[in-house]
Amino acid sequence: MQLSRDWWAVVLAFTAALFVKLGALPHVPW
Amino acid sequence: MTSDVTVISPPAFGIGTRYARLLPGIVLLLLIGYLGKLTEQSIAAYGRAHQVTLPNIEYVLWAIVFGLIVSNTIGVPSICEAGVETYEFWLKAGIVLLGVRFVLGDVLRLGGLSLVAVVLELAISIVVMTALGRVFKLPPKLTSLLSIGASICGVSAIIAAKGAIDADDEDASYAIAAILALGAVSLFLFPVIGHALGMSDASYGLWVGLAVDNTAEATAAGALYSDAAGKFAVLAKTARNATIGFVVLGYALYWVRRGGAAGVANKAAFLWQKFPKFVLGFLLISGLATAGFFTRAQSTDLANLSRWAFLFTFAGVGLRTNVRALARQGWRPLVVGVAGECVIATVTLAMVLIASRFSS
Repeated sequence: MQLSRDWWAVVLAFTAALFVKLGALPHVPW
Repeated sequence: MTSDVTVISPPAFGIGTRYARLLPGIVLLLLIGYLGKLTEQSIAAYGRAHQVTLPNIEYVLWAIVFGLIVSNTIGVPSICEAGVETYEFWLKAGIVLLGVRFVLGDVLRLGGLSLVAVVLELAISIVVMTALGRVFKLPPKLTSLLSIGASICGVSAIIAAKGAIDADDEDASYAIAAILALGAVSLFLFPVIGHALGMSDASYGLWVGLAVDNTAEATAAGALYSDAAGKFAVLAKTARNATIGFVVLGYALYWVRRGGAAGVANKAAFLWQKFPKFVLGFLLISGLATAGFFTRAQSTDLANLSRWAFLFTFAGVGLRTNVRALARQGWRPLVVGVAGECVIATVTLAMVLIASRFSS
């Protein structure tokens, strides 16, 4: 469980980073 | 928050029913977290509109408080429980994304510095907790679990160690309850002490990263002080988390020698299995940002995404803290925890203050 959750968190973060890099995600406000 | 199950498949976050089951709780995390953010903004807007100076209470605290109110009054609805448990997943994703705010050189320098402090902190925590456990005549395995929880990263370390040293469920839940109760207290206490001592963001963040046991609470306690302190707290805590495998392995081998646990077949595999993988993601994103892979605007977007991820985490911290359940765990583990944590917090504070004097 620990392995998979950790890896999934990394996968999610990198997918988001890729989307931002490619401009596929609109500006993220805070 | 995690278990020591080594089977990789099926993934915790698959598709279909597994995913759908998580949705209600994730929506609850978002609602509570967002309510916290709205509350902070509303108070600030009210102060501006009426030209009064109101204390700036961060969304972090509101999200935790609202979560606490729900979990200790109506309780978390059972349909939401599975989703609420994902708060640690969002924390890890948020930490990976936060890597964009660090220059890799700083990470390695500060992380290395933190690691030196972590080694000292580990030694102190283990010695103090073991001595207190003996004084209060706690079961030896409960003492081991409390030592591991206090020295590394709270709940995940206890759960990782539970399997490795064949501890009882009851001992694990005692140790987890003690660590969680102390984490909740430190959230409110640490920022007050930091402000009273006029600590810099870096010193305060390092102290929180060393002394607050659970990563979610450490991140929250850092963010409550300032954004910059939150960053330092995450970095120090991440360095501390990276040592989890070594400490758990040490305890596993100790209990194998005493005949109280099954052997460790492959030490390298054991270390890799216990290593928090999100630390690698954090370093990789930091490396990419340092290499100029992201523009300034993209870095800001990713840092904002990280804050959204933490929003879920802070709501989860409140939602899974049940005061009555903690009270039911008995007073002795709690006394050992409180006494031990006070010593650890004081010693790490002294370490940080001395280090900051020499570095300034």
